[in-house]
Amino acid sequence: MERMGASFTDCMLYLLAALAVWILLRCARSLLGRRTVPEPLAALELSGKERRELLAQECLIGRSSSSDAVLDNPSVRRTHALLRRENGGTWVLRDLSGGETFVGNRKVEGEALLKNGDRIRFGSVSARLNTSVRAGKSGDKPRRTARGSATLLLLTLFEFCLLLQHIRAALPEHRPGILTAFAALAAAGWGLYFYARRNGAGSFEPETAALLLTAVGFSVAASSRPEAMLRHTALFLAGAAAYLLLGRWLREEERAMKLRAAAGGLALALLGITLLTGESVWGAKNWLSLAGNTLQPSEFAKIAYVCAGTVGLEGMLYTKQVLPFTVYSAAVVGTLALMGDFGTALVFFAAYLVIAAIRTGSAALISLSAASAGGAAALVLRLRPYVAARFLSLGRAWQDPLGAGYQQVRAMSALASGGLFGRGAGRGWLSGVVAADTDLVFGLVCEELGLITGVCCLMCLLLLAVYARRNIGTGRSGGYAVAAAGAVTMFMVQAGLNVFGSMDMIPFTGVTFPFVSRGGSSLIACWGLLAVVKAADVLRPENTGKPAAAANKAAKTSAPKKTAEKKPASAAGKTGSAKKKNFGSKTAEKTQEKKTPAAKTKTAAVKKPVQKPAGTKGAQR
Amino acid sequence: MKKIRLRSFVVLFPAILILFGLGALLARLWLHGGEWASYSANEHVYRGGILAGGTLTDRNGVVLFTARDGEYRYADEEAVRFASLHAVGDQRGMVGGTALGAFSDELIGYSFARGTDGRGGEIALSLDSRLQAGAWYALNGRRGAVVVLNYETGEILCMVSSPSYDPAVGERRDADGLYVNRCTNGLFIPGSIYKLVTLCCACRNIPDLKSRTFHCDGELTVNGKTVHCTGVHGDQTVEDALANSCNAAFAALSMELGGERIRDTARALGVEGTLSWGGGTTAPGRFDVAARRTAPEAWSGIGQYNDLVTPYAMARLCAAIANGGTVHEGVLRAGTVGKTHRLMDEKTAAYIGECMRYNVTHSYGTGNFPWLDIAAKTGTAEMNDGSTHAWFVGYLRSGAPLAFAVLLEKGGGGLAQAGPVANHVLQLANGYYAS
Repeated sequence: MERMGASFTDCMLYLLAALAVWILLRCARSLLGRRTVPEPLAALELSGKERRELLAQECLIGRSSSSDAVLDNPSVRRTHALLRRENGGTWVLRDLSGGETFVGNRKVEGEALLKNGDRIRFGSVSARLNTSVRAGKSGDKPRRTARGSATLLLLTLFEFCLLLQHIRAALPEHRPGILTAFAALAAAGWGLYFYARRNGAGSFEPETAALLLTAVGFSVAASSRPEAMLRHTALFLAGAAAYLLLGRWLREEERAMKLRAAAGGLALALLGITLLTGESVWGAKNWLSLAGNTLQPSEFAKIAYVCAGTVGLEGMLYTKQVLPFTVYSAAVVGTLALMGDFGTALVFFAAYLVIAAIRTGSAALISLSAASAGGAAALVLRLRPYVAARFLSLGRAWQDPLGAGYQQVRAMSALASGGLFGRGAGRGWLSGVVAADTDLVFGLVCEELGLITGVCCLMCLLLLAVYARRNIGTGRSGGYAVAAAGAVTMFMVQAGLNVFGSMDMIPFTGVTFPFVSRGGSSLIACWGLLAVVKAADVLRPENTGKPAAAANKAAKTSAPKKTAEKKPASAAGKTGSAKKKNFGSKTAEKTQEKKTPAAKTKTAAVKKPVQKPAGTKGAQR
Repeated sequence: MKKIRLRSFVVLFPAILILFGLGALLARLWLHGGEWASYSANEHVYRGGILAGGTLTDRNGVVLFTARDGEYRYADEEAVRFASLHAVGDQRGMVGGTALGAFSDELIGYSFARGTDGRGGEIALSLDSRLQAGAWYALNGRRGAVVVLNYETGEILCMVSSPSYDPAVGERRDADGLYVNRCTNGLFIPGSIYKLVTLCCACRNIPDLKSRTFHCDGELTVNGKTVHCTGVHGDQTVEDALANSCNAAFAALSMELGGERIRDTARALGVEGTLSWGGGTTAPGRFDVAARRTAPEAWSGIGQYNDLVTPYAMARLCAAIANGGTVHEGVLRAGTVGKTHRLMDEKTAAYIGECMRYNVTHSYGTGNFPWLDIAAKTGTAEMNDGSTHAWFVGYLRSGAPLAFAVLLEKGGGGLAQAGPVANHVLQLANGYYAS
C-alpha cells in the first residue's frame, strides 16, 4: 500500500513537471511564433507613387533611418516632425525642425491638427496625409484574438494535480480550505480568460504564465500556511480584480498619461509615509499596519512608479528630457534605501535603468546612473555594517550554516533534495524554516515540485519580458511600452534577487518571487503590474472599435465581400492611392468607407466618421 | 516608434543575466548537490539528526554501518566498532574526515535527477574488518595509529586510531583527542623516520653521496651545541648510517643540504603541507627552516626540532618508494584507484628501497618479521618530557603490495614497540592478500 502511494506521488510529480513545461512551451510558441505586422493607420503619400505608411500611434518623420517615415532628402531634418494620432482618430502634427514644416501653406507653429487629404511640406518634400488607408501586405490576416483554452485546460489539470497532492499530504482540518482555494483559482483563471475573449484582447499567454506562477504560489501557501488558504485566495482575487480594474482604466491612454505625475507623487508619498510611520520587520522598515493587517506600500508603489516613468515618443527625443524622472527616481530609491530595504531599492533602480535606456538610448546616462548608484551603495556599505556583513558572508553560507548562512544552506539543501521532480507537494521540510514561503520560495518550490517546475517559474517571467519587448517592437503606443518594460524588469530583477540570493550567489536581500511568494501586497501588486504589461498590447487603434470576436467573424466572411467593397474603395481612391487593397473587416471602417465617397469633395467632413467609433470605443473594449 | 524599437532590447538584458545565473546555479548544483543534500538539517535524509538510510560495508561485505528509516547499527564485532570509528565515522558527526562524511551523498542515495528521499545506497569500503580488529588488538589499548594501504591502488586496508570508543554505545569518554583520527589528522614528531626525507633530499642534491663515508664519534657539535647519537658508529656509508640511524651522519647531511632544500623535498614528498585523501584532507605536516649552521638545522634533518608529520603521510611516502616513485592517493572505497602523483624518480625510489631493506637485514633482524619481505625504517621521536613516540614505517617488497605506518604515541622505542604491532597486522594482511 505504501509503495502504491509512493508511486502515485511519483507519477503525479512527473505529470506536474511535464505540464509545467508543456504550458510554458505552448505560451512561448504562441507568443514568439506570432508575427504581427501592424496595419497602417494612415499614409503619407509623396510625389509619384511613393508612400510612407504610418504604423504606430506616434511616428517620427525625418531623414534619419530610425524615423518611422524616412524622407531621404537633404532639406529634411534628421528628426523633422512628429505625427501623433489622438484617441479620437485625429492626427496631430508637431514640428521639430524649427519652422520648416507646413500644412498647406501655413507654417506649423508647435502643433497643428490635420485632416484627411491635408498637404504637408517637410522642407521641400511635399506629402499628403491619407487617413483612410486600410491595406497593407498583411492585410488579409484577421487580427489574432486570445486563444489558448487548451493551454488553460492544461493549467487547470496542473492545478488539479497540485490539489490532489496537497489533499493527500494535508491534515484533515486543512483540506476544505485547500480545496476551496484551488477551485477558486481555477475558476478565476477561466473567468479571466472569458473576460479577455469577450473584450477582444490580443493574447492570453501573459495571464496564463502569471496563473501558472500563481498556482505554484498557492502550492507554496498550502505547504507553509495551510490554515490561511482562504486568506491567500482572497488576496489573489483582490489581485485579479486589481488587474481587471487597472487594465480597464489604462485603456484611456490620454487620461492615464495625464495622471502620470499624480501616480509618481503617490508612489513617493506611499514610501514617505512608510518611512515615517512604518514598522521594522527583519531589518527593513517597509511595513505599514492598517486595521490589523500589515501591508507593504513599496509593492504598490511599483505600479505607480512604472506608470510615472512612461512618456510618449515626443519625450524620448532628447536625453535631457529624462532628467526630472531621474531626480524623482533618485528620491524613490533613496527613500527605500533609508528604510533599509535594499533589495527593493535595487528593483526600482533596475526599472529606472531600463526605462531611462529606452527613453534616451543614451549609454552615457546609463553608465553615469549606474556609477553614481554604485558610489551610493559603497557609502551604504560603510554606514550600515549589517549590509556589509551580508556581502562578506556571500558565497560562504556553508561556513556558517547556523549563523549568516542559516536560511541559504537550508534552501540549497532542500533544493538539492528535490531533484528534477521534487519530493511531492506538501511533503517538504523547508516550509518550516522562517521566510521559506517568501525569501526562500525557490528552494521550497524546487524541493516539493522539483527543479523543472522551479526553472519553469523563472522562465515564465522571462517569457513576460520577451512579450513586453515584442510589444515595444510592434506596439503602437510609446507610453505603455515603456511602462511595460519597467514592470517586467521589476519582475525579473525581483526573481533574480530572490533565487540567486537564497542560493548564496548574490547577497541575500529578501525580496519576493513575483506571483509565487506568499504575501498579500506582493501578490496584488504583481497582478497590477501585469495589467501594465498588458496595457501595451491591448491598446490597439480603431479597429478594436468592435469586439474582436465579431471582427473575426467578419474576417472569415470577408473574402467574398472583398470584391464588393473594392468599389467604394476605388471611389475613395481618388483621394488616396488607387491601388490600395481593401481590408474591409471592420464595421468602423465600413462606416468610414460609406462616407468617404460623399466626402470626396468636402475633405473637412472626414473628421466626423472617425469620431464615431472613437466614442463607442471605451464601452466596447 | 522605430527609434525605441532597437532600444527595447535593453529589457532582455536582465533576462540574459538571469539565464547566466541559472546556468551557474545548475552547474553548482551539479557539482555540489550531494554535499548540499547531505547537510544535517535536511529532514529527508536525517530523522531527528539520525541518518535515514544507507549502508557501509568493508571490502568483504561485512557491515560496518547501516541505517534504515531512522534506525541504525554498526559492525557486529566490538573490536571492529572500536577500530573503525575514525575511518567509518559516528553518525552523530563527532569525527571528521570519515567515510560517512565523504560518501554521505551516495549513502543517502542522492542523484542530480532524483534528489534524495533518504532511501540510501550501499558502499563497500576498502577497509578489511579483520585487519581493523587485528590492529586494534595489537595496539592493545595504547594510544597510536596504524595505516596499511595497497601501494598499487591506494586502497586503505587498515586505518585504526586509538583511543577510540564504541559508536554503538555512543559513550563519550573524555580522553585526549578521542575524536581525532590520528592516522590523518594527528601530527606527531617523526624522529628518525624523517631520515628517509633527508636521504631523498641528499640523493637529489649530492651526486657523490653513495661514495662518501660519514664519521660518527657518538656526537656532533654544532655551533657550541651537541647533537647526540645513539652510539659510536665510526666510519660508515650512507646505507650504514641509515641502518644505524646515525644522528651524527644525518645531522651533517642536513647541515650540508640546508633547511630550505629539505623543506622543498618534504613538500614534494607530501610530509609538509596538507594532503587530500579519500576521506578529506589531512592535518598539515610541518617543517620549519632553521637558521643556517645551527643546532636546530641539524635536528630538523633528523625529524626533531619543529618537524611534525601524520602517519598517513609517512605510509604514503613508503608507498611511493615501494611503487617506483609514484603514489596513488589513499582511497576508502573498494575497487577504486587513487589519483597518481610522482614523488621522486624511479632510481631514487629504488635506492631508498634498498636502503630500507638493508635496515631490516643488517639492523632490525629479519627474524622479527618471519615470512615477510619487508623494507622499513624505525623512529624513536624524542619529546621534551623525555618520552618518545615509537614509529615503524615501510612496505612489503613481495607478497601483498602493502605500505604501512605504525605509531605508538609516547610508546617507547620504534623497533621494540611499534615493530611488533606492524608485524602482527602485516602477518594477517600478507596472509589474506599475498598473491
